[in-house]
Amino acid sequence: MSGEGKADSGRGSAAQSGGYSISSLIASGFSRYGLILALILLIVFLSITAENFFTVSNMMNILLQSSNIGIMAAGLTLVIICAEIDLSVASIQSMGAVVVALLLKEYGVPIVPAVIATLILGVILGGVSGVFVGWFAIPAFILTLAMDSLARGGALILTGEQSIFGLPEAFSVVGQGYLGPFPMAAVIMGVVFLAAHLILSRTVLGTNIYAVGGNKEAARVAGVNVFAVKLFVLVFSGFCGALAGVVMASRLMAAQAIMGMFDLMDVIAAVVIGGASLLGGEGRIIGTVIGTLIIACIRNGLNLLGIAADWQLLAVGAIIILAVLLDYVGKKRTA
Amino acid sequence: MTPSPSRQPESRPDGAAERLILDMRGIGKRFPGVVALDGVDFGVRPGEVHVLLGENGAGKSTMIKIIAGVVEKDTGEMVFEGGVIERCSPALTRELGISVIHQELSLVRLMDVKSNLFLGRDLRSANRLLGRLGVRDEAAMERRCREIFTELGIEVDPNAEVLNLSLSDMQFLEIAKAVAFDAKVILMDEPTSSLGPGEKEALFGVIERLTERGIGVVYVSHTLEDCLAIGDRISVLRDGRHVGTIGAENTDIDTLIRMMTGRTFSERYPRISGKMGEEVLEVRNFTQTGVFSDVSFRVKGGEILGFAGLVGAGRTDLFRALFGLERPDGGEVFIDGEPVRIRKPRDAIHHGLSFLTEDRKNQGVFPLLSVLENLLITLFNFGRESRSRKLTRLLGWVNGSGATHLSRDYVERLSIKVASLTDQIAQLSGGNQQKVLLARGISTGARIVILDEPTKGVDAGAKVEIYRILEELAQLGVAIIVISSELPEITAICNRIIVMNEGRITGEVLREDADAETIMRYATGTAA
Ligand SMILES: Nc1ncnc2c1ncn2[C@@H]1O[C@H](COP(=O)(O)OP(=O)(O)OP(=O)(O)O)[C@@H](O)[C@H]1O
Ligand SMILES: [Mg+2]
Repeated sequence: MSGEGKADSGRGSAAQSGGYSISSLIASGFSRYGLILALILLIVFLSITAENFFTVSNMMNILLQSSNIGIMAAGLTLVIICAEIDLSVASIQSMGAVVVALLLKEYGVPIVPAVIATLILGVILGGVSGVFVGWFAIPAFILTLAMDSLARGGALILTGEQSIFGLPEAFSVVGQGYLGPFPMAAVIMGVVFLAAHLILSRTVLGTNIYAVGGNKEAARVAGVNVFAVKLFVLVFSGFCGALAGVVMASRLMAAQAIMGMFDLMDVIAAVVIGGASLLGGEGRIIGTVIGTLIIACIRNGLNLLGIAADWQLLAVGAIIILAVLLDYVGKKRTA
Repeated sequence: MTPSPSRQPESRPDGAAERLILDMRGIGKRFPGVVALDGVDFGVRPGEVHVLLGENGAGKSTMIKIIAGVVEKDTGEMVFEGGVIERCSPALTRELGISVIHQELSLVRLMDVKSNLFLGRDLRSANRLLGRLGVRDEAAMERRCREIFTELGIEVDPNAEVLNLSLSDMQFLEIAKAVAFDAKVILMDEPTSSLGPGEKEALFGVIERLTERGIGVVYVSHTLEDCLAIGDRISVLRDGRHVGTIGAENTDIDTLIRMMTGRTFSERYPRISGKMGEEVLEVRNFTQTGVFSDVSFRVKGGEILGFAGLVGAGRTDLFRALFGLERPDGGEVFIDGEPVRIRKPRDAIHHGLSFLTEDRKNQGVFPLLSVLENLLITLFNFGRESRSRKLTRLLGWVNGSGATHLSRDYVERLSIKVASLTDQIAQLSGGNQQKVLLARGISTGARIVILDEPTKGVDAGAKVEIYRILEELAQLGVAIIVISSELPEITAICNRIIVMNEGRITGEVLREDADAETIMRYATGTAA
């Protein structure tokens, strides 16, 4: 696989620059390396202010804590590049956590079939959204908002607002185990990121996702099966949501319908900070990876600094606005 | 209102005392991998039409964009009305009185004509209070709009919705807008490529009116006849260098082509033909209410069939429907004598059809994707075909070297000017984007190739190359359908020409009997 043809077709916003004067070079350099720079600055800042921040165990902890957000962000990146949105991922996560816990605890299903069944449920929920959005052309914003409500409501009905405890000990390996020095959950996140990256950069499906997101009409004329592409991205997102739910249930060894209520915010933030355009047609997984880490560092750092959850919510909101603003300025200068 | 020039320009070495409104001196511009402009001098006198000519990728649009302030020049000097413009920006050039008529029009489609004309500088009510509150003086706007239209000889209703205007009327509105903004120089980059013959005449009339007012017009086009007819002076670019500037009355088409390409062509519109075989496609009573009705025709393998007609005759709609992009209300399609149902483009491609759209920007290119992906996307999406040609492996995994090979083949065959296959297609010049789409259209090995304005924006030399490629296909037995508004083209390259008017077929001529006059008579519906 030489991959020459696809190595860097400028799908990131950085490569869009039109002029090549000094100022635009700086601007495009900013949008290319700015994210990494921002992450490094953030780590330096938190290392200085929070004393336990820059330790190996805390770094691993950050990876662990970011894993379910990262898994969902990988799925959402594909959806957003395709110029759609999925507002239901966080609720599908809760649904997944509740279902896998119930299967293990109440119905005594062995671990592997229980996990597989949960993932299939995620695929089905994503598939329902995909069919409505892709075939009946219902705006994803409305449809996945409804799906969000359905999944959250379903999870609540299944558990009756109770927490489910006492899951089989072996199940903890997914969310609490380690592979070498790395938390298993972070390894799973890494695999999902890698898969999403390969799909986007190395397969026809990836080209189609960018094509549909960038110019849907032209994609139809060119013989792209637009419905199949939209169905796929929403199915993939549903799958990622359910997988995140399994990871979360295993990490906490418990499940509750309202857990992860505010995760949608972090997931969207990770993708948008990562540079994917909400207008579709551009974005990269590497951006989302960094976006996820930035969000995770902020959460973790604010925790270490003893800042309450409500203020954290405020901080994340402000950071999204900042990220979008920087992106806007970068684009304006390179345009 | 002119921003004060910071310094006086250096006097010209040749000391020419010619009066120029706009003087571009020694302009240089580099993009990664290409020198788009290399020390080009270009000046515009008041009241002249100055044609900018050159092959695809010669640097014409880059020059226009630099003047318009959209692209920054690397070297050189821009002098406007005697003052050096140090830093150019779109806002500044507009302020100076330089207007660009872009190919993609920038009108607000949901507003009426007069509001578009005054967009951003509405005439306020004469009543001071109401004026302060931003109440518009509709009557005054309508009056002023009519004045400008009359002056330019434009016949458009100031109260019509822009969305209901024809393409040429929209273009006139753009020009009127420039005049309303007191433009001194108007730049037109391929303004005629979507106009029919009649509309083109009207445009030329308007341009003449502009020059009478002392406005300098810069005109870019690949139709050499037009350039000679409308131009006062012609500047030729080749590979970013200025080859020369001559008066239009002192030159002819052959000279211009030699200046542009360094070569001569025996024939600009060669007669091409293929190996005629069995009938492959029959369309019977195709109808879409209000768009086209009762259209029937047949095509043989190896035949080159032309569709002529005025813009709006329904030709594009007809073939969009045939290709599954639109639902017809009635009619049948037979391929190799078998009835087929085509509901979507994928069905059409399965049945061996391919379609090159005329609307490059909206229905053709993926601006953010690479040249390679733009070229191969259709093939990629037909898995078995693309695996057998070593483009993809299992699960749609792209085989990088196979894909690079094949696209490099096409790039060479069609002489597409591109620095790297991984460049975004938006970086190519217009004509080269068109060639990439043509390559996409023929890449699938279709047996029936439908081309809607295939040489739109393509230079004279490349046109001949495209005709040769069509001939090769026809020799292989491929049926080719060409929709074209360029009469010399359609009468030369097609074996047979069907003419449409207002959604109906009004005539059919063989190449032997085809002349512009007959076709125009059918096209305007004035044939007996
Ligand atoms: N943004 C860009 N980035 C990189 N290369 C560019 C960019 N814009 C133009 N070029 C290159 O500069 C050269 C000149 O392009 P330009 O668009 O000026 O050609 P043109 O004379 O207008 O051609 P056409 O007749 O096909 O419209 C081409 O080789 C083109 O690929
Ligand atoms: Mg051009």
